[in-house]
Amino acid sequence: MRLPLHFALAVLLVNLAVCEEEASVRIEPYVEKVPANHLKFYLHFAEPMERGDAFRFLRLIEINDSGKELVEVPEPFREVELWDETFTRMTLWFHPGRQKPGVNLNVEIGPILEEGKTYRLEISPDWKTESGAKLGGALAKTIEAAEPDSEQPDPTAWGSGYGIDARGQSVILIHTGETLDPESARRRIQIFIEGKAMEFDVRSNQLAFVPPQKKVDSFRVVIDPRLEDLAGNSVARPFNLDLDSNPNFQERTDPVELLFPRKIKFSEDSKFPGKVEKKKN
Amino acid sequence: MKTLSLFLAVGLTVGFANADSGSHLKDAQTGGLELKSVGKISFGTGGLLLISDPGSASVVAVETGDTGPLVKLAKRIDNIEGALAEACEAENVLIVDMAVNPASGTTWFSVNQRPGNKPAILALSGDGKFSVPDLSGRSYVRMNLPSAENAKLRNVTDLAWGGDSVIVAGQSSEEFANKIFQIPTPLEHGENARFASAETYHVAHRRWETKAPIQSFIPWEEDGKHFVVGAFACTPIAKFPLEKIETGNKIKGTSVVELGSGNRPRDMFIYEKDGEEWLVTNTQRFKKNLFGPSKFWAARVKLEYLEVNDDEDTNENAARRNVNAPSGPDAKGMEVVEELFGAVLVSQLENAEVVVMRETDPEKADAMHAVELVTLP
Repeated sequence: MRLPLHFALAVLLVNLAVCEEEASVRIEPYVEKVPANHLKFYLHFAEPMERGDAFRFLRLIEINDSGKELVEVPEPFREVELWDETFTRMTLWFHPGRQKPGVNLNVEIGPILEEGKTYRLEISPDWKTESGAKLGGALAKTIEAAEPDSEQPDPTAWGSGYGIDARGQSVILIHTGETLDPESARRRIQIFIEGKAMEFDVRSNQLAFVPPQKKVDSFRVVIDPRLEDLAGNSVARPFNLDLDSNPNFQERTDPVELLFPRKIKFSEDSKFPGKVEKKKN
Repeated sequence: MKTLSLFLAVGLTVGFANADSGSHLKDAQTGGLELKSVGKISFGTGGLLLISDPGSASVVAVETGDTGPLVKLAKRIDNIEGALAEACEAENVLIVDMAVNPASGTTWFSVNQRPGNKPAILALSGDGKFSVPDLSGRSYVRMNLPSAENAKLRNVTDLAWGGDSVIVAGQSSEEFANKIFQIPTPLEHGENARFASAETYHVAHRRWETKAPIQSFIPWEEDGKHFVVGAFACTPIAKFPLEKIETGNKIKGTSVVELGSGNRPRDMFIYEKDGEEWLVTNTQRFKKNLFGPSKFWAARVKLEYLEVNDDEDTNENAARRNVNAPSGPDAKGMEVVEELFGAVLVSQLENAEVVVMRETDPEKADAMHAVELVTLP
């Protein structure tokens, strides 16, 4: 059950894709287009939030080209609050039963997102931090629903090259072809140079890390098969797996290891929007 | 002969006879109990309170000393949030969970105090008095929920005393994944749980769902075998053999009942009335409830539905609730429980007597809730 929302006084909508550094909340994934069967967002707050009634402060609306509200999407969220240990990151799920094609809620109520339509996820300024202060200033993320994605990520098709990040520093990019679930990417991907693990940043369909020296002969990427894309398809299995029609489907359980070549070239898509932290020794 | 018994009911009988819950704890720490957060709570025997602390991915078992005598809640408490806030001197509180202690009749609450989010454990005794139990000097153990992955499961969807173990259902914050943990007695500090992922046939979805989290469960025994009977969103009820839990493996459940799509289970329990045993699940509908005054409603299912094991009666062939027959012969033993409309939280005191926290105004989600003792038909 959700309380009436009070967004009427919202005076400022901050498009986080533009202004993520200054916002009191960042919303991942940092992309404007998601598959229509997109599953979840990560809300990163500057400080711990009050918990227990978070869904009073969240809503999803369909908007037109000029950003005007057309309709509020009913019951879009799986209303379970999932926080990290610092209570600054909340995982916000769309209801999987509505996003999974062919299952009952998807059929009865319909999907949450429809391909070709534009939506805005809004966070009420009335939501308080643990210290009792309101977030202040309404926050929102606009997304466009693209074609549903039922394909599993295929790391063997990934490429790499040198690039430049938002600080202007040289980074090595890994092009993943599609946008991965950013938290899953952080948890399920490891990058090694000469045995040392590299810290990396995730934006859109790229991973980026600062190499320990200007020229790198090679690097190794180890991918846990639980790595997911935005629609919950993992390297191990598609999200929407019908075991009745695929009774012999075998999930991949062993990691994927990629060894990138000795000569890394400059990427064609060489700009990385984030500011990548250097590896701390 | 088939024998059915509810672990909890058996445990409570033992608990009344033996109030020394200390026998369940090993190398317990006395004093210094601090909670980073509070989630689901549940009682074991002899006043042993289980508290999930999702912020630290752990479950605390604390000897409350609340061992009786039994005093049942005498009158309905309106505005339970206001009364609890006054008790802990907060502006207001947000109730996370509620558990009645069958040994004493005292109803315990896990709450977040506002402003801020300071966790607290509060109590309402049968005579209507509120208190902030001082657990600081009580013996306790903190049981960390292990993970073979590189992150902890932080969201405990339910936990229960299982007679000779504590059973915990959890889900991942980042991925659509579930785990069932079993922590053997004696309970002690550290990581002692074994765990498995549950794989369930979702009757309404007509497919196997290997990742959906168990929302609520009860421990259950059938023919000497121990099971978890779990309820999932949308709303299959399935049983999982506890003996199959081995760390890291998957256990396949047997779906036995389908209550209807669009529901999220909240609590489960079993009671007996007039020679018939019933499994009750109170749930929250995702959408408007067309057959009652509230999104919060409950169904009771004849326990014989849990006994089925044959392919002809399980999984894709599991019995479905007749959504057009809330009661009567056409309901075929799967009935709507009128007394539990509006029930947000339900905790079993003694057989058909349950403490219910319910809505006072289904049209206003910010309306305060009421708590009362209800006897089920």
